[in-house]
Amino acid sequence: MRVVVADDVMIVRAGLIRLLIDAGVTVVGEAADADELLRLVALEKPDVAVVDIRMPPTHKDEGLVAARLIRERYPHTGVLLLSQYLAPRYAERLLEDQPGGLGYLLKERVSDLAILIEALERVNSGQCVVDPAIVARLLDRERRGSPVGTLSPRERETLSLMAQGRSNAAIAHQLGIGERTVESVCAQLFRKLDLQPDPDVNRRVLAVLTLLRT
Amino acid sequence: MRLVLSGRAEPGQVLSSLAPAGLLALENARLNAVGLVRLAEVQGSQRRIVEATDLERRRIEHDLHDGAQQRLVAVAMHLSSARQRSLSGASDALIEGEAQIREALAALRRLAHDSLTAVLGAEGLEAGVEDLVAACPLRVEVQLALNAGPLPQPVQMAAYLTIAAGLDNVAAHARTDRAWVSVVQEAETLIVRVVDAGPSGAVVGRGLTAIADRVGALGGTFDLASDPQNGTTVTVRLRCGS
Repeated sequence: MRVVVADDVMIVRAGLIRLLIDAGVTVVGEAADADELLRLVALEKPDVAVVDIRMPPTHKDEGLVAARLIRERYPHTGVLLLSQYLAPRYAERLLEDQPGGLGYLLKERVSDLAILIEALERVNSGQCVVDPAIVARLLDRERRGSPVGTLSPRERETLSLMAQGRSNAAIAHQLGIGERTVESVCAQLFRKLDLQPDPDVNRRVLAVLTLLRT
Repeated sequence: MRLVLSGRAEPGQVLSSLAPAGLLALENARLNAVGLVRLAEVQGSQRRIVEATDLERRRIEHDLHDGAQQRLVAVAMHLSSARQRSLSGASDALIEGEAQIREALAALRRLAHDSLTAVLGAEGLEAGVEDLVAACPLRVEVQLALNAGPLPQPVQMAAYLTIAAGLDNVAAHARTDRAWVSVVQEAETLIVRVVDAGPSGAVVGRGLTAIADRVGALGGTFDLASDPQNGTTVTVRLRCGS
């Protein structure tokens, strides 16, 4: 997998690149701000861009804006956004428009190599990934009339793991149940969220979107 | 003052009897004006103190973000990398080191008030309130009715901090797990309410006292009402016109 890394803090960039190289990922370039990142993506057409949300000049949402542009202009490049803060709104705004090929993780999470690699692979294959801490907050935020409120504890757990980009096999392993059981929990979950079977639409992505819009 | 004049009173006499009262009224008006000027001066200096505090807070937050937090994140990454390469004996210590860094990062985030200026700056009050409520251990119902267009930053900050301190106060003292938050803009006034259904006898923590000072400095009002039937209500009114 070919990846570019964008973060304005040099030491973080260096740490991230080192982790990625350890994981067997090919780092084809690094950038310290959004403009440099966009030039790099245009040049290298990487599989995934790993991008810090806050970059110069305002340190607000430059990374987010760049992510949007990348997804529009280079559909084959996925974007994994890293953030220092828990801000569900960021994730929501972003994923509402272009759910596929995007991920959003807390920066400190990526030092867990397994999570980083899984997120990169998911994003690269057009799925979406949302940080577990944000998913937990969204699930806690109960709104009346939301179908998420009708889910059983097991279905909520499954949805939460799904939002973190886990496959059925990984969910089964985590919950200590069989993969067949996970499949039937998913079927029930999709039914409750009113997501019809449709070969063209990724129901897992839609289920996560339902959660974000709750 | 009321004066009853009889038909036979001499105009001169009437005037001389009014003179002391008139002087008194003039003196009162003068003192009143002096008082208003002083009040405006005090409010101005209070406002400048709050602004200076906010500026300092942003500076500290920025330093934490660019300094300590980023360094810790980088160290965590290097430790993780070291653990991948290490022999099994060394990895226990490395795992412990990583766990401690995660805790340090969480503590730093709380210190920097989590997403305060990041979210308020980039996304406005609405998103800030949602984040606050999402992070709060209480069950909170929220009503938001804001006009289009951004609020002045000091007003946003005061409203956000009112809700933060109000919810903290409920969690610490109210012996209930339910609260209601409303932020309503009516013409030029922003009304912020935090209500709980706990037993009466609100304890006002230091957090809320600081809020009352901040709100006062912006020329707003702060009210706290508590009764056995309705729990405790904090109401803050802020002028949000230019």
